[in-house]
This record gives sequence, C-alpha cells and structure tokens, in this order.
Amino acid sequence: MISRTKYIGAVEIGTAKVSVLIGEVTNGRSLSIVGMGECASRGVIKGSVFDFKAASDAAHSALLEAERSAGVRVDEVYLAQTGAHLDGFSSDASVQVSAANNMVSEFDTATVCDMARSKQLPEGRMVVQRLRRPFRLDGRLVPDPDSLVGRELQVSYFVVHGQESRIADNIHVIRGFNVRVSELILSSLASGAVVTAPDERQHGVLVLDIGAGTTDYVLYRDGMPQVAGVVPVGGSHLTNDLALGLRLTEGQAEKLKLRCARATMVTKSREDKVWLNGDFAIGDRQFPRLTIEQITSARVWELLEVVKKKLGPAFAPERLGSGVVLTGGTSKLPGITEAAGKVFGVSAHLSEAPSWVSENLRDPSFSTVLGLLHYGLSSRPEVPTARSRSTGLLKKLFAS
Amino acid sequence: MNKPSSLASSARSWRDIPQVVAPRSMSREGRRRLTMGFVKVGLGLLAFAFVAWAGWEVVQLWQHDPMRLAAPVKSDPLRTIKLTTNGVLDEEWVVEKLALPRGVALMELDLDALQTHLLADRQVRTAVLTRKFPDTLLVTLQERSPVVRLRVVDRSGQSRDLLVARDGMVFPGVNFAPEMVAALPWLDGVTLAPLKTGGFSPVAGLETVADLLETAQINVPNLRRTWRVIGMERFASYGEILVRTEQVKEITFGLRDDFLTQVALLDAVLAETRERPVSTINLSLGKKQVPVVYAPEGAAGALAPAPVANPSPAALRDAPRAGTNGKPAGATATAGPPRFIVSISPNPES
Repeated sequence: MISRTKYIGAVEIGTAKVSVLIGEVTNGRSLSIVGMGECASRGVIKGSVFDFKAASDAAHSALLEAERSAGVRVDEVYLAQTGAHLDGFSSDASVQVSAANNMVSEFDTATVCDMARSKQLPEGRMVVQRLRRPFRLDGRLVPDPDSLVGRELQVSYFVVHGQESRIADNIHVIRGFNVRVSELILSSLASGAVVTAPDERQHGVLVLDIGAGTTDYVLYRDGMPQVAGVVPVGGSHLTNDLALGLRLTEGQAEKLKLRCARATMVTKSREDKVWLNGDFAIGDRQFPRLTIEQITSARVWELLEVVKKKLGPAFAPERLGSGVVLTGGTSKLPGITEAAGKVFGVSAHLSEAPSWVSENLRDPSFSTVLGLLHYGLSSRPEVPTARSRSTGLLKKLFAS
Repeated sequence: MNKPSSLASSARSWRDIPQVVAPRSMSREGRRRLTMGFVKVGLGLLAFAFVAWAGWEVVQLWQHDPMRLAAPVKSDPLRTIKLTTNGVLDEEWVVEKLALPRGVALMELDLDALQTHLLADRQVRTAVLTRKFPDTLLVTLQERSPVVRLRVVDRSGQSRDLLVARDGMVFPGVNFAPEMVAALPWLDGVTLAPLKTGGFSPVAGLETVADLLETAQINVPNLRRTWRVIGMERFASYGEILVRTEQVKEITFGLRDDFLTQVALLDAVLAETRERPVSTINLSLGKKQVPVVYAPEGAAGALAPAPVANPSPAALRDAPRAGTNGKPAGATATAGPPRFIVSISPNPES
C-alpha cells in the first residue's frame, strides 16, 4: 500500500510569542513533529492583532523558521484563536422522536442538531467553534442516540463566537504568507486536548491555559467540552502590576517577576528583601519580597475568580473529579496550583505533556500549538445536518 | 455570556471569511511563494500544452506520413550485413533473401518484418537481427540440419528434392554439400500437406526416425551407409519403421525395444546370414525372435543395385498422397518364401 504523507502547520499567534510546529501526517493517522519555529510576538495585544505589519513579520519569521527546520513547505495550517473578543452561549434544542415505535433515527438527530445550531448572532459576530454536549434522550445522557428508544431528544451546543474583523485579521496574517487556514481552533480546546486524558475529561476537568495576554479556559464533563472562553488577563498583567506598584520599567518588572513572583504568599516578614538586579550597580535597589508576592498573588487570585465567575452555573466542584489542570507559560508561576486549588475548591496540578512529546516541546507554553495538531487530527466532524445528509446520499451514489 | 435573543437561520462561521489576500498585503516571503505558485502553474500548463501539441503532431503524422514515424532518427545508410550462423547459409543468401533497397538507412529497417521474412525459409530455425551503428546489420541464425530427404512431384510432373529436419520441417536446402545430401536416406510412406503460405506442414514422427538413424550412425556406421530408404507407411498404425538397404529389401524396426538393441540385433543377424541374400528382417517382435525371410535363389537384394544418386522413392504429389503401402510384418513373413528364425542372444555384443 502506498502511504500518503501530508505536512500540516500549527500556528499560535500569542501575545508574547508566535509558535509554529510542522507535523508530518501519514495516512491521516500517525503524526510526527518535524519542524518548529518561534519568534517574539509583535503587534498583538491580548491575543488580538493591532499592528498587521508587525504581527505578519513575526508570524512569517516563525513560519519560515519552522519550514526551514522541517525542510518542507506547508500549504495549510491549523490556527489557534484566542482574544478578549471571544464570547459564548449555550444553545439548546429538543425534538419529539418522529418514529411510531419511538426509535431515534438519523433524521431526528440531524433535526435536533440543526435546530440547536441555527441561532443567529449579532451583526459583526461569527461562529468560531460549536461544542456539542452529549445528547439527552428523555433526560438520560447518551453519546449516540441512534436506534435508541425514547420520546424526547435534546441536545445542547456551546457556541463560541467572535468579532468578525478580529478573526479575519488573524486569518489574513497567515494568508499573507500565502498559506491557507484549514482549521481555526480555540486555544483552550487545543491545549485541553493535549494536557488531559480521555478519562479525566469523562470525570470532569477544568483546563486553564494562562498565557501572556489571555487566559483560555475549557471545562470538560462527560468526556466533552461544556464551556470554553477567554479572560483577557495573563502573565503580562502581573508584569504590568509590578511595574506600576514598584515603579519599575516593564523589563525590570519582567525580570523581577520571573525571579520572585508567586501566586500565593509564603513570605511573612517585610525584612525579607530582594535586589532588583543584584549587581550593586547604580540604580540597583531592594524590594520586600512580601510586597512582590502581595501584588502578584492578588492578580492571580483575581484572575482565577474571574474565570470561576465566567464559568457560572456550569462550574460545580463536585462534578470536577479530575480537578483543575494549569498550562501555558504563566502556569510556571510558583504557587499557582495552590491558588487554583483554593479558588476552585478542587485539586489542581500543572499539565504534563504526553509521553510522545519530545523534551524540547514539553514546556507548558507549547501545549496550545501541540494541541492544535493533535486536536485537528483527532477531532471528528460534527453530526451531519439534515441538509448535508441529503448530499451524503448523492456522494454515496457517485462513489459507487 | 451573552445569549442572543433573536433566533433565526444558522449564523455565519469563520469559514465564510474569504481567504483571499491582495499581494500588497503579503510579506516578501508570501509574495515569493505566490509568484512561485504562479510559475509552477504556468510551467504545468506549458508542459501540458507541449504534450498536447506533441500528441496532436504525432497523430497528424501517423495519419498523413507514417513512414516518417518509422524513421524518427536519421542514420547512416546500411553498408554491411554480418552473418553469424551454426549452419551453411552465407551472407550472400541473407542479402538475397532480405532484398533490401540500396541506400536504405539503418533506422528505417523494420527488423520484425525482416525476421519474419528470414523465418519463412524453413531452413532457418531462429533469426535475430540487431542494428550495429553506424551502418551494420547483424544477423544471427540457427539453422536446421537435414535428417532425410524426399522427392515430390508437382502437378506439372516436375520433381524436386526436399530435405527434412529432425523436427519434421521440410525445406529445399541451400548450400548443403552434395555428398552430404547424397548420403541422406530417402523418406517414403509419408503424406505431405501443402500449406497456404507455401511449403509443407511438418512430417510427424521424424524425431523417432532421427533417433534411429543417429543410433545406427554411431554404432554401426558401415551398415548405416547402406540404408537407402526409410519407410514410414506403418509408423502411425503399427509403430514400425521400415528400412530398405542395398542388401536387404526390408528391415522392420519397432518402438517396443530401444533402437540400440535392435541395431545390435540387426548387425548380428546380418553376420549370421551373410551366406544367403536376405529379403526381410523383422526386429519389431523383440529380442528373442527375429523373423528373417531369405530372398529366392538367384535374386539379389531388394534394392540392389540401389542407385544412390538416383533412387526411386515413392513419388509424392502436392496433393496428399500415400507412399508405398506395405503389409504388416507378420503377413509378409507368413506369405513370403520359407523363413527361419535366427536365435539371437539377448546380449547384443555376443
């Protein structure tokens, strides 16, 4: 048998950096990562492009580096989508089972899905992703209702939508490299796919991908994503808070954050101080460690509270058996798991990359771009709509 | 989360965003890739157009001037024909047979047709023709060797002699030495079927005859030299080969015993009966009994004096026609003159 090899790129245009991976997909099943490119991001704030030229230059540099390291050219990419403009809502629908013997048919499934998906959005908004929750047949959860007997079939979608112009900007940055965007995937879903196991998703798990400019979250329950969203707060806000609170430049604050910041307070004494640079040069000064921890922990605590609030009634600690998984560059902040555990009232732990990921990609900051390749390959197409079902018959006819 | 109040037809998806970007919005690398893409498409179209044009030209040429297709490469005219053969044919024969026009180019030769032409002569078993640039045609032949000869008489009464190879192929025979041809026995009692393409169909059973002759030639060459006619009239029906020699009118060989045993018996019988002329010897009944019929007193051998150069075989016409129609050996033995059985030891050497 001749093996079919295809090269797919995965691109995350983040606030701090642009990451690109190139995966070699063989026969649509096996994936090998053959190229990698990284570049400091420019022209992006809180996950949204505000300087097209600068953002394009950064993204294209990373793409070019990845192509060179892989030695191949990619023609299509999976692109991660984040940003404060993203929002979501639940869309529910139910139908009475049409057959006289109450056996659910493919037509019923397609109809209820069509109904749940046919919600109009406000002007200028467009759907980024629809997350289908499990079907309910007379109130009981069923993964696939086909051929089961019941009276009422319900389905619920969590629809993530965003500002058309912001989404288009992201796509156009990639198109400027003359590469097609074949899939647009929520950053949180991409991260969640790679840092959680299927049984964790089944038991219920909350994934927080805390980046530099945004925090992406996704709540899994019954093996499927229930709620996903974005909070426009990330590690750069900690830096900014430190800069404002201690009257430092952004560069100094970033260095201090990396050295001394914590998500929880452990220092008791104000006498415990840290030097800004530690080189005893002019301008070098000391800061109480307690102050630094107060500033950063307050922001982290606030961030986690905002996420909890945005989850709303969907969040129930008793239905979060696998707790909270933290990933993203800012998840390396010491004490952040304790903070998350206290805020959400469940156990929290840092993400671990799967065993198949090589050592240089095991850093949490790569979880989104890794997840793009993984999610893009493993995701199944949504339930066919009534319209697409009819064309399916035509396809079958032509195929035969 | 804001839940939209209005519910209507399905909302727009990010896939509705057109992924078309003007080149001015692209980075330098993007423009380079776009240009390369156009170049590739252009080259592809150009290649396709070239292939299409070439195909159209070939079709046109095929329809109007197919000879130009036969000689797509101009080469030097043919100057030399080199022959390699295991037989007696020579280059002169090849030149005459091929009858190539003067000055024909080497690449214009249709080697398949020429090979078929050579193979039409049954003396040629295989023929391989090879171009050797710049101007030589190499011809490699394997020829058939004759085992027996026969004479046919056509409708006009003209007779001609033909040769028969081990595989039964009948051919006129070119360049064979006259003394070699004269030494071949005549074949009798066969029916030749003319072919539409000329010549005759192969004679069945010649391989067995060839084996007999070969065995005799190796073991009793002096005896073999006296064999004049090989009769196959009883071959198909009784599995017998009749041999007429200068001394004996008819020697019958059978297929039951191997030819070596029968030849040894023959040698022994002739040694035992050298005082009286023998008319027939039947070796087909086995090793223990060999019926021998003596010739009447005063009569010479059946074919003696057998004219070697001008024998009298059964005349065969182009139309199927049987040769001498002999009776079975047993009948001859009982109806002929008194006979006696020569007892021969099973051991041929004794």
